[in-house]
Amino acid sequence: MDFKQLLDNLLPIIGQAGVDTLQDLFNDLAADQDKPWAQMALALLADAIEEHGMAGIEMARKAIESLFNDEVPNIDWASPRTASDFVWKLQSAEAEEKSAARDFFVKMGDVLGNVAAGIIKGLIIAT
Amino acid sequence: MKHLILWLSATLLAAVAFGGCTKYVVRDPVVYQTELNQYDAWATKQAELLRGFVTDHCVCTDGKFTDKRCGKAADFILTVETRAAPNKERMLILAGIKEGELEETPPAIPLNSTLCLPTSETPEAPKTEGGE
Repeated sequence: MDFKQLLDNLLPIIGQAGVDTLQDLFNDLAADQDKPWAQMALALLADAIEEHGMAGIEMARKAIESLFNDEVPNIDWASPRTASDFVWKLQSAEAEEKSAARDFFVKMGDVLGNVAAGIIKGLIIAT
Repeated sequence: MKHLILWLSATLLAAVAFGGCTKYVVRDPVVYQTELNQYDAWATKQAELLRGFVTDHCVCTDGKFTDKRCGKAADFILTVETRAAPNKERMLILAGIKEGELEETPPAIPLNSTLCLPTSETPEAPKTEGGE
């Protein structure tokens, strides 16, 4: 799904004025719309608006914003399909973070190990 | 030497202070897995029971359920049937309880129409008192 398709689907629900408002909001985001997280946010937004009309925009915004604040997002209103995709993406992100963290600690361990070895070597030479 | 130690200490302190930290929850793995199994069983049993109701009582026209509630029920059933097991496995892997790699792409959830009963096979509506 892309922004245009989302807006086309929403036209009967929120009317031309609503679509124009969303179009303005989306202009800044359009460049990232193919990224997995943007796709997920779009699917959430589509669900929220389908269920709650324009009020759904605020619900979707809160859910997405929660993620950046390390809060548990409320997505009870989303369809089971969208909610499941959302959780899947969250799990993948957690796995990637773990893997990146592991790589980081391995590198840091190597660096600190070399530094420690250098300090001991320096101490031996000094004594 | 003192300078090096001071520099190292300062670097580590700065990393801790500005690197931020994520909260992690440590749980007893047996209790956690038992809870997970319980929620999984609740969802999957519910989906199984609901499937019977949908296939026996819901009908479709042009591949869409005539009753919106049937469509929502179908969404729930098909999502749980397709995703509950892989999602549970991912939870166990992420929690470090099970070994394995996470699949990148989730399994596709079948269309609701796969649960549709054609209109020609419409179940007879139960008759109500006084009427229609």
